[in-house]
Amino acid sequence: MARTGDADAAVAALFQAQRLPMVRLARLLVDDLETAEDVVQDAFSALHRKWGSITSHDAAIGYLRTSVVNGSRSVLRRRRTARAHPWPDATKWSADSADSGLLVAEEHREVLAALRQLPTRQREVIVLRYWSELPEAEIAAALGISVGAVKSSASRGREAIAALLGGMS
Amino acid sequence: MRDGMGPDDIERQLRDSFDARARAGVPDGAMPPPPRFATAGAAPRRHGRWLAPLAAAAVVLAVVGTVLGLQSGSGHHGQQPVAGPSGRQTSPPVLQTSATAAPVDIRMVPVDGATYGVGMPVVAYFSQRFSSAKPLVAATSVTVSGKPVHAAWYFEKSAKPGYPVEGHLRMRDYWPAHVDVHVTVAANAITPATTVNFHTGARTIAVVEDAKHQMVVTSDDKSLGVFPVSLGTDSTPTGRGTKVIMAKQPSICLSGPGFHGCGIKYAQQLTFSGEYLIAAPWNAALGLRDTSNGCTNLTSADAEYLYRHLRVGDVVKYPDTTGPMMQVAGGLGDWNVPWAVWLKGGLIPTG
Repeated sequence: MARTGDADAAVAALFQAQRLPMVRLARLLVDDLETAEDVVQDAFSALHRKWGSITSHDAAIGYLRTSVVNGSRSVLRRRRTARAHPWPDATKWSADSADSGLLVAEEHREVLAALRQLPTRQREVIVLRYWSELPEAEIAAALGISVGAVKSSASRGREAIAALLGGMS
Repeated sequence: MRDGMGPDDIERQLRDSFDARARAGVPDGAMPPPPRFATAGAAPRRHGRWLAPLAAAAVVLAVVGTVLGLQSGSGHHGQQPVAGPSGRQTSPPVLQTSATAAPVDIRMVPVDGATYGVGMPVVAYFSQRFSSAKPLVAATSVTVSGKPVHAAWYFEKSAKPGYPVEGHLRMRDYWPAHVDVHVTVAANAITPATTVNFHTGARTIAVVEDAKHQMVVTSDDKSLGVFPVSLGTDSTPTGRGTKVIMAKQPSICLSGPGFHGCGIKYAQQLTFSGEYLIAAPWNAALGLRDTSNGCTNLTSADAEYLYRHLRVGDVVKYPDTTGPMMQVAGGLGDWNVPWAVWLKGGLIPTG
């Protein structure tokens, strides 16, 4: 499948089919739409550059997913410094409230706010598990960690979210 | 509904919420044209990636998009937005009129169309320092419900990466209640044109009286109630001065000396250092003694009530606590600067 001459058409076709799910995945990892679109754009650019070494459709999807997770992680790392200055959260809260067309119900917003407070690894595992619905082995492959680490991150992430939602108190 | 929530409930709730976020946040119809990929070498990185095609047309773009996560309110109203290569709405290019003028990226914090408390300053982040704010001051006009008003810029160092300077814009006193505020910055030697519009809600002012361990809240001169509180201990005193609610979170994790906990509810943030109004169901000293790490502890019921009735931009005063005086950069400490000092412009002279 991997002739570089085919790359433009093949990646464009994948872009049509996979852009939306990938943006939605990135959105859960980085919070805002603009950044999510940036991350996904980068992932498709990287896929295009690497097209020669991509051996199957599934491999292409896997490559995209890993790129999106890694790209989101580096955005979060950069933003962590910015979080010392917590305006982004303040504006985000207001923006969600103001934008009635895109309102997420309060109960969902609490869950998403809790998600944002998880350590990065736990957040990635929770999103890949409950949004992407990936089996543990594929999560492990996407993140480059062991299945055991996936299990423990998922478990700790669920407990932290339950605590944040007040379910344990 | 959350009592006795089990693992299955959490899993179901995660799936439901992720689904709701996906549907609400990323509409199906928002498909941009397929990207054109770089044919050789790496794609230009960061902003350059989408600046490149426009730079080729010899224009300088007023950068509004961001990777920093701040959803800017610096819209360009009355002009047709153009779609960038990634399909997002970007502001139209602004022609650089002088070879020496370096437009500074400016981003405003109030979200366009949102409603804030009367103590909310307009906060603008600038991507470069500049030596005099005169051109910016001359280009700035502010109206309240259509009538021009006098508002002034005050500058200070910013902790935001990539934005070394922040400017705060406010009137001598709080904004009037229930009005539309419209800020226009015309294109000038420092920044491209920028506007921001927002509304104010009721004039809601809270006064936290440490001596009486109570918080008195009025809204449009009507009482919202008097609430028993417990503030910071002598070793972790709550700061003094006038603060403004910066952010609200339904549930947060907090750390302090000998303390770390999650699931702390109805949090309304007042300082970057981490002072909040919070629900503190564990605190038996509300109305009696100061036992906190600096947060304003309230009963769960009171904290929830205040969470529902206060908004970002509402004013919370601490006239008699013993902690350090609130600074502008400590959060939204704007109201602690006397007007005569404010008019000088702070870090960057405005005169």
